[in-house]
Amino acid sequence: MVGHDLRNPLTGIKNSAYFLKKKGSKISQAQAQEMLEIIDKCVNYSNKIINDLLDYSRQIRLNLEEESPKKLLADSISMLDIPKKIKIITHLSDEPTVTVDPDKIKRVFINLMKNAIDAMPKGGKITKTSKQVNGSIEVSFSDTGEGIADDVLPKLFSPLFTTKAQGMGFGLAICKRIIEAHNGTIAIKTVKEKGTTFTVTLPIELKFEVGGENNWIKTPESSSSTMMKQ
Amino acid sequence: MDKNTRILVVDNDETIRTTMKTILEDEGYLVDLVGTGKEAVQKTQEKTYNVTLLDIRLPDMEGVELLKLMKDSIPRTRKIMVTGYPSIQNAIGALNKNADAYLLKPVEVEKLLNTVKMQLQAQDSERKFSEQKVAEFIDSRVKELSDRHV
Repeated sequence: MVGHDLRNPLTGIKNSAYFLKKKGSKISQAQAQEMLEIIDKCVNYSNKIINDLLDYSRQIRLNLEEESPKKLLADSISMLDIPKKIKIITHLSDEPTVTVDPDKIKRVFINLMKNAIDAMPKGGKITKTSKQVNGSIEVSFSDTGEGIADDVLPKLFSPLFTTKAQGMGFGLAICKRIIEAHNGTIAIKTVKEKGTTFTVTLPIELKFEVGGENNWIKTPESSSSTMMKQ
Repeated sequence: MDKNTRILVVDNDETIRTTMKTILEDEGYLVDLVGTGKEAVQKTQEKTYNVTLLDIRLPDMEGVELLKLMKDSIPRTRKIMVTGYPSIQNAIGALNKNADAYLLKPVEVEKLLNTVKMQLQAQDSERKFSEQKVAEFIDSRVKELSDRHV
């Protein structure tokens, strides 16, 4: 899987380099620009693959801050390019702030939103919901896509598993690691031809017991020298 | 080379499609691009292609599955598998399902162009052989009928 994914951008780079070399000074400005942009795009994509691999293999470090789920969702959506054929519906209640690593939680939200968009190539609706349930916050993303096949569901959070032609299958595996590092959970509910809902549950107050896990926590009060291993 | 030599590139990666088109068009081929198996089936129903370059992994079906469909629908089109999965099983699987050639990504462009040329030559030889066989059949049939009437 990793091999295939890296070989695609390498092919793009190789083809562009071949054409630039072959044409030399005879190449038009527009064609040279197009080939250079492809090289740039392929290098960025290769870099993303390498970063995903590193992210998955390294220990998770949490830089904790108090943040409102509303802001985390708003920041995440602002970083996405939503196609016009996708409608976003938001049901957010006023919940208390949560103690999380904002960048990592935003990464999870962006990943879930991107998956929801990919699940609806012909367009559809994404409903974002957040609500307080006892001592936790539940954030859900529902799409109106085709749903997930029964045989795919058990493998969904496994690294290197993907149903996409392009992608290595680290997205959801990393999401699960991030959420579990926050002592939270991530759940799926899917109905064939109706859609899928991913629900992230995060504790409002993050409590850790020292020892046992492989996550590094930096609490809001602590300095960088007082990180503790969870 | 025939000015109307037509090639269909089937790959889900946009950068590969774009660069392939640029390179192949520069060599004088007419090139169409598609990103899915379904689009590939549709295109081959609309136009006749001399060669198809097929990725082994597509968003809606496996490349070998598409190969199997094409074996029945467009048997004369030369099919070249281009893959990022360099396993012997994939190679055997593709060749068993009627691939005419099998190349590994990232492909040396010269090698790709040579493979396309070789497949076009093989296709041309096949066509000439078929034409010769048809001509021989017509000649022998005409002679047979003439003999009967004498």
